This record gives sequence, C-alpha cells and structure tokens, in this order.
Amino acid sequence: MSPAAAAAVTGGIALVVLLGGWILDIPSLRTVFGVSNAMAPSTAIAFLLCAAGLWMARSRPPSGGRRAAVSVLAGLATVPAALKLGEFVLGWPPLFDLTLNARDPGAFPGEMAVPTALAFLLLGPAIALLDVETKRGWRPAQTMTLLGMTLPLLGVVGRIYGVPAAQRFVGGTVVMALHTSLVFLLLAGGIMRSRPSAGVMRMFTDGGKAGTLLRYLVPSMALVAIVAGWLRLLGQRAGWYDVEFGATAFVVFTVALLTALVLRVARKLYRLELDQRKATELQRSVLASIGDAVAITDARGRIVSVNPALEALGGWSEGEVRGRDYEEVFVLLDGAGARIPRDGRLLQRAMVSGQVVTSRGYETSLVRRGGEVVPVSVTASAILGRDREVMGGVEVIRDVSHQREVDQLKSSLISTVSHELRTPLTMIQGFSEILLAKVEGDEDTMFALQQINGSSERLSRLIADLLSVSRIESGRLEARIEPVSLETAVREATHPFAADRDVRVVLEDHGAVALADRDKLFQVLTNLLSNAVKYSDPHTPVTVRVAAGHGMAEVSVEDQGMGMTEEDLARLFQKFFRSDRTEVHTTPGTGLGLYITKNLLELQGGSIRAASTPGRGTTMTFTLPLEQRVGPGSVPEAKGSAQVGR
Amino acid sequence: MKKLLIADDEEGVRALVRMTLEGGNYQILEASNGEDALNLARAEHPELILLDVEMPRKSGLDVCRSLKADTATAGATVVMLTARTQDADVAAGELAGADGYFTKPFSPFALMRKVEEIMEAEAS
Repeated sequence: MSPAAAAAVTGGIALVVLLGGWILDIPSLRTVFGVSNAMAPSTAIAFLLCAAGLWMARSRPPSGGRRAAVSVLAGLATVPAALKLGEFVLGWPPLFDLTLNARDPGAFPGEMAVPTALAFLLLGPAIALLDVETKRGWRPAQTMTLLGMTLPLLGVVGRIYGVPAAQRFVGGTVVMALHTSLVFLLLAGGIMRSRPSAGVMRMFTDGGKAGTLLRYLVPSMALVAIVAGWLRLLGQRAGWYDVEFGATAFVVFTVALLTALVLRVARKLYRLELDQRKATELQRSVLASIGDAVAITDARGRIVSVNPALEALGGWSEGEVRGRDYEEVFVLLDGAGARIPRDGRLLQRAMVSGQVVTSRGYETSLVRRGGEVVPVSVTASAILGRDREVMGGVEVIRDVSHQREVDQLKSSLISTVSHELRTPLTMIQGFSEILLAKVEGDEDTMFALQQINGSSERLSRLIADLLSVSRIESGRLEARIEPVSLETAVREATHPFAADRDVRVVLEDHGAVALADRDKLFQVLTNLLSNAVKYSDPHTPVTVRVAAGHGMAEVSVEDQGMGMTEEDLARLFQKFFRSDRTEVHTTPGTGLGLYITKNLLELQGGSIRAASTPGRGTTMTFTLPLEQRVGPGSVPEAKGSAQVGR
Repeated sequence: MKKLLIADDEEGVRALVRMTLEGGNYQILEASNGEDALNLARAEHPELILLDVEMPRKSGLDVCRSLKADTATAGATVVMLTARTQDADVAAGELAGADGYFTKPFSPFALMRKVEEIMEAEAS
C-alpha cells in the first residue's frame, strides 16, 4: 500500500470511530479519552471527504469520471470550512454545526476551529489540483499543502507549550483538537507522498545531495526549534530568567545547535561530492589515457567532450569545439573523397539504431584542421539512459595511416611476387603445351609433359586465388554493378563445361535480370560449376537452376556427387578449408574457391548457402538482387522480346 | 602475309609466340623494349601488336598510347600481354586504348585462337 493510501485509510477509520462517538453520544470517543477537546463532527466529515478524494487519486493521476469525483469530494470537504469562516468573518449564523449538534446543543464547543477551517481550505483544493503543474514545474498542490501543514503544527506546538492562542490561531473561541492536528499532518503527508517524483518531492526522494540535505535537515531543524522554544518557555515560566535572557539564550542555543547540524550535513555532502568528483576524474583520466581519439556528443550531435588523442588528431582543442556540431567540426570523407552527409555518419546511424556501428576497410578519412586528410577507422555507439533513451553518442576514431601503408606495402609485395611468379610460369605452361602438341614422344615423355602442364595450370590458379584473397582482405575489391541477364550469364559460364559433361540449365524465370558485376558473377558461376564437376561422377548431370522472387534472384548449381557431411558444411566457406576425406584430398584444390565466391557474392549484395547429403549430391544456391521491374506495363514488353529472341 | 609484332623483354615469351604462330600465315616481328616496339610499328605497320606491359625504356601502356595517338598506327589492333590482372590494371589498359587484354600465364593455343579471331574480324 502506498503511503498516501495508508494515510487515507488510517485517517478514514479513525474518523469513522470519532463520528460514531458523536452519533452514539459517547464523549470519550469524541475527546480521545479526555486527552483533548472534541473534534467537531463537521471536521470529521470534511476529513472523510478528503480521505476519500486522496484514496481515489492515490499514486496515479485519475482520469475522466474519477477525476470529476475527486474534485467533487475535495470541493465538498471545503463547504463546512467556508461556512465556518463566513460565520467568523461576516457573522453568519452557525447553521451547520447547530444542525449536527441538535441532539446535544450543550455539547459546545462542537464547532470547527478557525485554523481547522483555514487548513481545509488549503488541503481540499490541494487534493483536487494534485496533478496540476505549471510550465516551470511548480505544483500549486504542494505549496498549498505545505502552507496548510503550518496550521496543525501550530496547534500541536501550541498544545505542547500550553499556549491556547497559538491553537486558536487568528481568533475564535475554539481551539484545534489534538487529534484534528494529527489527522491533518497525516493527510498532508499523504498528499505530499502521493506524487513522490513531482515538484519539490523529487528533491526529497532523490538519492543525490539535495535529497540528503532535505531529508536530514528539515526534521532535525524542526525538532531543534521546537525543543529549544519549549525549554525557553519552561525556564521563563519557572522564573529562572526573564524574557530578555530567554530570547537571547534561545537564539544562541538554536544557532549553536543548527550550526552543529549543518556541519554534520556538510560533512556528509562533502564526502558524497568527493566520491562523485573522484568518479568524474576517473572517467576523465580514462578518456584522456585512451590512445584512440574519442568524441562524446549529446543526443543532438553537439560535442560534449573530446579526448587529447582527438585534439591531436583533429587539431582542435576541447575548449574550441565544446558545444559545436560534431559533424561540422570533424568532417569525414568516404572512399571517393566526398563528404559523408549527416545521416550517413556512423554516429548518426548508431544513435538511430541504438547499436554499435563500425567502418570497414580504409574507405573513411578525417579532414584535419589544416585540411590534411588522414585515413581513419571509426566505431560509433549510442549512450543509452536507464529507459534506453538516447542521451548522446560516443565515436572512437583510429588513425590507420600506418596500417594502410603496411597494407599497401603488402599488396604491392603480393602483386610483385605474383607477377614474378607468373612470368616463368608462362614459359613452363606455354612450352609444355607446345611440346605436347608437336612432339611425338614415348608414353613416359608424354605423361611427364602432361604433369608439367597440369601443375603449372594449378599453380597459376593458386596465384589468382591468393591475389583475390589479398584483395578481399584489404577491402579493395570493388564491384561494378550493372543489370545482367542471368540466362546469358549462366549460358556463358556453362559453355566451357558442356563439352565434357551433361550440364543442364533450367530457367524457372526467363527474363530474370540481376544487379551484379558481370565478371565477378562469371567467376562465381565458374567456381561453383568446377566444384560440381570435380566432386561428382563424370556420367552424372550437373543442373543449374535460375529462379526469381521477392526482389532476389536465386541461382543453384546441383550435382549428384559425393556430397558433404554436417561438419564439412559448417566450415565450407572458411578460408583454406578442405575436407579431411581422402576422395577430396586427392582432388586438386586450394580451399579458397568458396571463400572467394562467398565474398564476391556479398560484395554484390548477395549471399550463398549449401545443402548436401553425403553420397547423394550437393546443391549450392546463391542469391543476387533483382533489377526492379518498372510497373506492370513493362512485363508484356519483356515477354515479347523473349519470344523474338527464340 | 599479315604482320604481327610481339614486344616483350622476355626472350622466352617472344619465342613462345613465335613457335605458336609459326607455320601460320604470319610474318612475325619482335622487339625487346618499348622504344624498339614503337619504331618497328611505325616502320612496318603490323596489323596486330602484342604488347607486354612492363618493358624497359618505354612501358607497354605508353607505347599503346603513342600508337593510338598517331593516325598512321592507330588502325593496328593492340592486345596487352601481362601478368597484372587487377581491376585497376585492366582499366589502365582500356584507358590507354588497348583493344584486348591477355593475361600471363597463357595457353599458346588460346592465344592463337584469339589472334585468329581478331584477324578474321579485321578482314570482314
């Protein structure tokens, strides 16, 4: 049960008992067994109305009919109070109390006290306005409640001190009953606690410095003041000292005690602040000691902080760029040297998706303050709050000029070496082929020549594969995407194999046009076909199937060969993977073909998958984006041209 | 008799081309560097020129550019013969005006077929 609900329920029960005391005429119930004067029945009724209102609006803003009901209850609670004030100020006859007290007219003072009426006029509307908040965050309900609390407090303190004037407040003949004061304090506490995270209550419930200060200081200050005042009165009444000394001693005593209190709180806060400062300093020094450049922005992309590595890399000091637009200050270029627009930036994508985004290859460069361009790699992520809301972003920028240099060295080395290897290989392959064609030697000689020729061909394929892998890994492989007719591509690729093998082409979609790199698609088809031919019986057919649907073309190459095991399938696309099975090992291959194929397809926006049953055959299926067909009007046209073609 | 110029600093490659096309209907001219190739092409006007890319004194690409820039020699069919196969290399050949691209190592008979294809296309 929430504190507000608890206040409403306890108050409600106590008041029903009190009202019972009036109705059944049991004086001890009315006066809490004689400790206090009686609570007026009108007061009890007003309390019940307030308690019911608070109960309905507890914990969450009421809506619709419920809100109306809360307003009516709170409004009714102020009626006897308004009448009482009218009676006191304007001299109206005491109608309300007399009617209720008709059974026992001599039971006066059974009327509502003036401070009680004032308190109801503050707390009643407070319940009705519980969720009203101004643009600047002011909650009138809280101010009214805090003001209203002073009246019962006056009553309680007045009773402790034995000062009836304080209990009567501005006048009237009746003092506020003790239990009335206590129920008021309970009600006011309930109202404040019903919205623990709104207005001033937010500071109270917060775990931070303000919360600590308020929670500690407010009750202790009240206690100190009340005790000091009481001691002063006690001494004065006993005649130990006169009023002048009493006032002086009270002031000094209060000042001393309050100072001691404030010192204690200050020490607490100081420790809290030291901890926070340490945490902030740790964050700063961690950020400062990171070797990569780090930028932190707010949710709108404005720079909050840059670390020394970024200051050095970009050429801007933190003071110069704080608060400025991150994208404006740190300009990034793409592979073509064009400025990357705002929504293309990794940080923007990270903040939209809430995920970590990393740049690939050497495409991105940073423009330094002087206009100099540095190759960089970028990792961006969003800073998310407790409710996963985006609070800002972090971008880590790494200067990769050294890596790029090394990589360029590596690729020029590979290119030189492969060039140097290819020239002698040209002689071996060329002359062995000429000898095979021209020389009429014995069987051994011919076999030797065939071995030389075959091996040089293998060697040249291996060099080509290694070059492809080197290009894939350095991210320098590029695709020239254009519309490619899949039928034409498949026919071209199958043609060289068709001489020695039964290669079947099944076109489920004749006009399928993929968006692909013509040469790379040819390489993919050749790789898959040569695998299918290599790993299956020469008498079995190899089938190439072309299908289209859902924006993607699907091409599969199917053989009835030796197939693959589950373990083989799982590692099929890894670099240098070759199955341990002897029938695979005796067939020449580098274990690079499918790795290259997969990368070539991904470069063109496609994918590849494999399905296989050992001993039954393998089906390799790849996808490529289809060219968007423009509207239904173009379909018959395509059909027509296909007919002409046949 | 058609004239064919092979320019390559590797004696072996020139021999390979010569032996492959021997007996065919060709007069084969040979050059071992870029400058010689250019001079020979200007003097003899061969129909087909096979150019190695990396040659001393003048690169195959430079020779190709010079040939294509000169109206007297621009009519010759130029095929680059090279061990460089990267996309950028192929693009450089195209940019220099080469009509074809043949990569090393090559099958001499495939080269012969390509040459015959080109010659037939020229004839028709």
